[in-house]
Amino acid sequence: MKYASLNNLALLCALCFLGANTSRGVDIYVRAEKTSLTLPDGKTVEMWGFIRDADNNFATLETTAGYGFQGRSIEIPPTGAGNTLVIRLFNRLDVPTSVVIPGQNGYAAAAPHATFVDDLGRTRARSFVAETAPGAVGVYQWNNVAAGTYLLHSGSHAALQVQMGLYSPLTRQQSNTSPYPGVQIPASRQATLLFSEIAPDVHDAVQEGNYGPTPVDPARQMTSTMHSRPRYFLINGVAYSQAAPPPDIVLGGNRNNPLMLRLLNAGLDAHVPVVGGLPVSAIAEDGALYRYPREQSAVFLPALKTTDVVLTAPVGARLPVYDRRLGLVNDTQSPGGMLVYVQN
Amino acid sequence: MIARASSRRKEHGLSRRERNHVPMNTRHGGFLRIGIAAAAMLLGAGATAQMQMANHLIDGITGPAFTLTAKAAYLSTPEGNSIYFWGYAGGDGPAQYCGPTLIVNQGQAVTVTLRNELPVPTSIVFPGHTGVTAAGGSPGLLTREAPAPAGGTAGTVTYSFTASRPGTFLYNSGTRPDLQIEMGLVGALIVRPAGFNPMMPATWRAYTTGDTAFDQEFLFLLTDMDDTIHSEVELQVLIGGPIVADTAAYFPVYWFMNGRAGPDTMAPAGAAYLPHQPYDCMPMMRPGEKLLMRVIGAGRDPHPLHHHGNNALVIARDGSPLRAPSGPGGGAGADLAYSVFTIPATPGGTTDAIFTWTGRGLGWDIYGHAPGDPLAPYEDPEDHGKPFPAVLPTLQDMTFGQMYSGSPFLGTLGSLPPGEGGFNASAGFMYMWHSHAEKEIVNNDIFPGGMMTMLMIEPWHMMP
Repeated sequence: MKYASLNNLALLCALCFLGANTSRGVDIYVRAEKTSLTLPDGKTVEMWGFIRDADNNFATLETTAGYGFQGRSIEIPPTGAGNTLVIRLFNRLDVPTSVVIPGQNGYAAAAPHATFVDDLGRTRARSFVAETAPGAVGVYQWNNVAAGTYLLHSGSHAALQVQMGLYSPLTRQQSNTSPYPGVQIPASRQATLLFSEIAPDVHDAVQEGNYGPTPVDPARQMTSTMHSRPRYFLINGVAYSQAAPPPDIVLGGNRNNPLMLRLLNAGLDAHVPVVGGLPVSAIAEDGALYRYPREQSAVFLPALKTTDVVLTAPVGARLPVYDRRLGLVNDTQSPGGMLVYVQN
Repeated sequence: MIARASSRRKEHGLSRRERNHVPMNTRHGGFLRIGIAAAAMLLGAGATAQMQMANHLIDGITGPAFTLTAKAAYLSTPEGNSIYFWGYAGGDGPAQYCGPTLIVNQGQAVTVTLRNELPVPTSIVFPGHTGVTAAGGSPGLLTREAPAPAGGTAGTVTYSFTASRPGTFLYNSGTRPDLQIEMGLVGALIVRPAGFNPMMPATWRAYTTGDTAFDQEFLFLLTDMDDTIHSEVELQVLIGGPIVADTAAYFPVYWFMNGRAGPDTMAPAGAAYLPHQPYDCMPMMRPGEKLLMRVIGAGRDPHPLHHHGNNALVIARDGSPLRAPSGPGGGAGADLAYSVFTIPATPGGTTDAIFTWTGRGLGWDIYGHAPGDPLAPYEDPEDHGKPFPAVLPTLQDMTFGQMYSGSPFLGTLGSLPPGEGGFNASAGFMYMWHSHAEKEIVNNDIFPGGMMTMLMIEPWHMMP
């Protein structure tokens, strides 16, 4: 991964004029910023999110597109449009951050990962890759970007920053009608389902300035995420609520044909998506196409795993997709959590 | 020696094989006796005593029409706890943890009528099956539900589907699953392939192909439990309040195999002191046999089921054989079965595996043969006649477990001081089968227990 950090506004503006698609690949403009999320029981938590800058221009900050934690994919044009991916990350957070994409092996590293000196004087790693300072724009590059389903996430203090929401699906089609070589399923027959969790004590500590070594209120200090537990469970950034259920995911195209669900888990715990109890064919894992499909009806999805499943559903079916690991509450309220309906 | 040991074993209520060879009226399966013997027969000096080792099918109730009643009861844990739970009962029987194992044949039209005696609505979902329809009751999030009783009348709902494919499946509540699965509303569903005859072991296959044939069959339905949730619910039911349980704070302290925590897993099926936990979980086999493991992750957490003794060949997942689709020319697809010594049980998922054991590779003759002796059935010739690789201490220098036969050799009893041993009348070998998440082999922090049992290797022939 090639990296450069630009604190200079002039250089920042210069970047704004770079085209989104180049002859060698694609440039993606992404911001990391604070936002908030209101959960079904009224609880509001601070979130940190990656959001695509819609016009590939940091001079204006569009807010129309959804955040990565809401399941909004960063979609790379199909192979043939070039195989180099450049992500320009504008860090609008108060802390350094970075981007990694497990499974995309074509890193082009140009700067070392960040370190810090601990209380004992030891130099220790703080990130997996080079960081982008607050207010700066970092440039990250991958060569030979492969088709598939990937989970982009923060590579800095990941135990905290991933929990805070710094993740996003990243997808690439093999072609406009094919997610993988030899698999013919058009985009209209595909949906992305991102499973994630909220441990509210972590978000509250961050929001109140009590996370880390210098808390505002020492009595409420949180020094790590070690003892926190998720109490909200979301699909595409939404927890199910009977009072305000999330809209169904409606798949178009020829409903007699198979459909594909890209399943991703950004939580700290494993989850087990079930698609209406129907048998499904898992065709790819971590963005890699299986040699043979694997038939199953409960898809084991450990933390930061992606799995693509294909199934044929009855025309008109409304399939409940839920977590058999039973993340099906909103704090103490039930029903809730990881439940959404997919309409064929 | 044999008679004395057998008698003592029965006195302790552990003559499991003898209890199981006659199926209970409400059960299907258990040990099916093949052969004639009712007890070991001594045939004189130098002769072999023929044991009545049986072939085992999973206990359950046969359909295809079932009535299950959801009701409350109390289950027992080996360290002395009694826990309020919700379970499925077969008809008007006692609530069971886990629910009755439903056994049907491929192609049968299955109907399950659910009667609800719980104070909340409930339902059943049947993952892995297509075309499941529900009639009666009221709409729910995942399926139609049986309402809570009104005016003393249980709510009902009926589910129907065709068991179109053989395999291992589970069923569980589809209503507030985070609570109701935790409370115990789970069970196994087994679909026998066409041509399966429970009275003819030669027809026993897990799926349609011959490479899924087996001699012994055991269920490993794995669950976990946070008893604080059960206590909360019990109190709320008692005072007639709303059922509000904090399942997000789930922290299990009990782990079960077929509804029992170790060492109750090895107590007899249908033990009178476990009236709501009728299923045991103690696999038994003879060397060379194929033991079919039907493993179900029915709880909330994944569990790594570690089977000592040998690897097992995983042949199916969620009722789908691990075989690639046929190629363009037809015929069988590639065999995708794989060998493991720990089976990861996914919540809501099932795994079928075939375990075999002959003692191969141990490096010594498990029968204690001299080099010129004939081979025992399925004995590995490589180790024939190789001596036991240790010098046993004298009896005066030993302490004895109840399962020690007095000899290190399979099927050979040895001298024991009076009052020692006696629980291993056939001089079998044992291997622990347990969760490899080691904290799960306790009962509320008391070791040993939890998700733990023993595989019993029985000899083909008892050596005098």
